[in-house]
Order: sequence, then structure tokens, then C-alpha cells
Amino acid sequence: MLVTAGCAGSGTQRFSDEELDALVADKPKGLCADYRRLYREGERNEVLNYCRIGAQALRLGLYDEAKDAFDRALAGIEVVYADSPQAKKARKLWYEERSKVFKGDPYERAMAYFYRGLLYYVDGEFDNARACFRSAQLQDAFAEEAQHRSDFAVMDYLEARCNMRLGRADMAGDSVDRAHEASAGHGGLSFPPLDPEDNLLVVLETGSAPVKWGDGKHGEYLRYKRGPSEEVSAKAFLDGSPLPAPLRSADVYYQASTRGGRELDYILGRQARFKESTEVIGEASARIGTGLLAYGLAETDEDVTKAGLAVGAVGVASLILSSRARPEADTRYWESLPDSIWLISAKVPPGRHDIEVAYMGSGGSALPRPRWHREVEVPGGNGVEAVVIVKR
Amino acid sequence: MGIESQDLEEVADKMLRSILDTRVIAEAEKAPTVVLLPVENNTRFPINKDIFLSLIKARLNSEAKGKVRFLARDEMEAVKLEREQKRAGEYDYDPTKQAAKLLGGDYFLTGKLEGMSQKGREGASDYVLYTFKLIDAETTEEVWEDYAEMKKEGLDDVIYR
Repeated sequence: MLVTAGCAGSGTQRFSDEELDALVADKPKGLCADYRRLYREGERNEVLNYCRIGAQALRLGLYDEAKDAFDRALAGIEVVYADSPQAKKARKLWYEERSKVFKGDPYERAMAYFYRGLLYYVDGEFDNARACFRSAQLQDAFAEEAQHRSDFAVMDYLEARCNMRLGRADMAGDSVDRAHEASAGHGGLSFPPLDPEDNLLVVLETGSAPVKWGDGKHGEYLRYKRGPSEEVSAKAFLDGSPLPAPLRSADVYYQASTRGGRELDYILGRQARFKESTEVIGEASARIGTGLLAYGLAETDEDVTKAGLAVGAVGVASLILSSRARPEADTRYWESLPDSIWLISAKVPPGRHDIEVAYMGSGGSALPRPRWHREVEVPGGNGVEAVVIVKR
Repeated sequence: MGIESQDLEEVADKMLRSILDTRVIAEAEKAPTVVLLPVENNTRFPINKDIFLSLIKARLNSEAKGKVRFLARDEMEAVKLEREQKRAGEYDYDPTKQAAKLLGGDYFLTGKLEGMSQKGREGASDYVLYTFKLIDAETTEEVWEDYAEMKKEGLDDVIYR
């Protein structure tokens, strides 16, 4: 999957600046920095870096590059690491979980499928788009609590939209019902009505990605917090006139944080307890050993001196074991994800139009930053639509 | 997981052998003409679905020479333009090869991929059913149909669950 020039295993690659320059020479300018990082960081972060590249390419309107990047990311996500030596290694006491090859948390894998699905949708390949939205929903099947499994409702809605475009009104109805059912547990989410006459779909994003962090004394418990967001909503305009209000259709932080416990948390918890107990034993033994040694030397008692050395050695060994134990949870995350996804569906006059998006702060006023702007060709005729992806 | 190249070859191979045995091909006095219709993907895997029909067509043309004739409907615009230019005298051509009309299709060859998928802490499984059929372009009769199925299961290391 990755260019193998200079590669050696899954660790950081040792490329010279000249080699990196050559590797990125044919890449679009706005993606060079991300590609450099991809080649430097190697297999361990390959999926993560392709996701970053795909997101950046979307932001820049480089859809062909985005498709390629997400295809490569998804190929990595679908790999099953059943008996993988690197996965076994990452579970061991002496290795950090973050040494594993990154595949992303379920919500991150779902979002990779989401973006690829949108790109298929843009191309009118509605069955492949539908496949992506289905796969996205399937990634969410790991949640600990049943009511949070496969509840990434925007994927069901987009699957419904694909079914509508494929002329499968029956399946579209089922998918929309699932979307409403899946979003019932999370208030505040809604979706545009399905209307085959609509010829414009705007997908826009606000806020920052959920942030992963390690809780517990040794960071062994993976937790999520909502990313910082200046904007809380957005408004879109077509040739200066307001489009229908965007509907908040997904809360990415909610998806991340309702996953519940991981099986690995139990393993990391045990590793953390080992680290603590060996630390306690080590400190205690060191104290006792030091005391015995001091007494033995003072009283010229060879037996006590030897005992002090022995106990001290046990203490040192325990402290070394403790320091080498690595129970920290893997907190790598896909930073260019949004906090929320919004949808606008509308029927507008066919032809060339200007789309602008203004981001709103918590006070309801537009934030003092340039509006997002792009020209779009809106088709006429039933069943065909322009798709505008406003990647934050 | 997912649809892989060996799946494609296995499916195409089975369909090839089956389609050559069907009465309308095996007993046809004159090789029938076939038009490819798009394959529908109803699985969770985004794929280059046209590759299935392309491979079946290529192998039929290669291994069953002359038994089936395929019509390149995807190149219609180029063919029409070429015909116009020739008849307008812009391009030279052999008049004996002039065809009054484009060939009509005797049959449509199409297919469908359908899937059932599950995923969770117990593992992932994907079942894909491939069906292909030959449809009489005059009567809509399905004169041939065959299928192939694949099931894959996998359980990620606990570190990914």
C-alpha cells in the first residue's frame, strides 16, 4: 500500500529531505506536508495519514486525490489483524498500545467511509455510495450498550438518499425510518425530507474533532472530550440569498463518547495495576534494603549487609520493571474531523451559482472570518443533483 | 474482508462455464448478440462492479470464440460520429462494409451483488451473493441465470475491538 522506498517495518521511516522532496514532487501543493508525514511515519500511522490527506484534499476541492486517499485508508481499515505479531506485541506489558498499526476508533472508521461515500455520491455512483454508508454504520457496531450500536443515523439517511436516486423508494423509506429510530436517543438531530425533485445537497461541518485522552493514573483508560469549537452553527447562501437552514444531522463527539468500554481497557487496567504494585514493592524494598545496608555497615554485620544488598536489588529490579511497563492507552486521533455534520437539501434553478457559507458563534452572530465560497453547476432534471461538500 | 480479485476470478469462471452451456448460446445457429447492462451493487463494499462483466466478456471472447457477439453500446457516440463522417465523405472507408443500421441486441447480460454483513465484538462476517442473468431483449424472458456466493469471517485482535 505504501511506497516502500526506504521502508523498514512499521516504525518511523528514515527518509532524507531530498528523498521526501522526490516522493511528494508529483503531489498537489496543498497536500505535500501531509504526504511527507505519511512517508515519514510509515505503516503505523498510514491509515491515519491517508485520512488526513483525504480530508485536506476535500477541503481543497481535490476530489480525485481525496478518493485515492480514502480508498487507501479504507483498505487499511478493512484489514483483519487476527494473528498479527504487531497487534500481539502492542498488547504486551512492555509496549505501548500506540505502537499498533492505527485503524481508528469505530467513529473514525465510519467517518472515512462517510467521506468516501459522499465522493461516490458526487459522481452519481449511488450504489457504491450506499455501500459506503452501510459500511460506516457497521463500524459503529462495537458500542458496549446496545442502544448505541449502529446509531450513526446520518449514514442511514444518506443510504436512504442513495436508494431514492436508485429508484428504490421502498428501501429509501426503510432507511429513513432507521435514521429516525437511530437518532431518537440523541435529541437535536434531524434530516431534510427526501424529495427526488431536489437538485442541491450541501454537506457542511462545524466544530473540531473529539479529542482522545488517557484517564487514570497512568493514562490507561481511553476517554473522549468534545473538541474546542468557535462556530456552533452555519448559514448557507445561494447567490447571496439564504438557502434553507442547515439541519444538524450528526454529532461526531456523541458517536465517539458512547462507544463504552473497550476489551483492551481491561488489559491496560491490569497492566496499570502491575505498574503500580511493582512500584510500591520497589520503593518499599529499596527503603528496607537501604536501612538494612546502613545497619549492617554500621554494625559490621556481614549477614545484614548482604541481606540489605539483596533486598535493595529486588527493589531496584521492581522499580525497573515498573518503569518499563507501558499501560498508556493509544490517544492518536483524526484531528480534521468535525464536531457536527449539517445537511441542506433544496430545489434551486439549474445553472451556475455561487455558494457561500458563514459560520455562526454561540451568540448567533456570524464569526469574523471570511465566508467559505465555491461556484457550483446545478443540474436540471429529475434524479440528478449537485453536491457541495464544505469540509472545515 | 471485502471483495477481492480471487473472488472476481472464481465468479467469472463459474459464470463463463455456465453461460456457455445454456441452450440459447450452445444451440444457437448464429452467434447471438449481447449488450452489457450495469451490474447493481447492493452490498456494503464499494467496488468497481463493471469489472465482473468486463472479465466475463473478455473470457467469453477469448475462450468461446464466435459463440457470442458483444455490442459496444458504451462506445455508441464514437461509432455514430464515425459513421456520419464516413457518409459525409470526410473519412475514407470500404463501402462493402457499410451497415444500414447498427446491430440490435438479442440479449442483455447483467448482474447483481447482494450482501449481508454483521460486525461486533464477536467478529465480522460478510456474505455476498452474486447473480448474473441473460435477458431476452425482445420478450424480457430470463433465458439464463446462475449465481455464486462467498462468505468471509474474521475477528480482529482484541486491540482493535
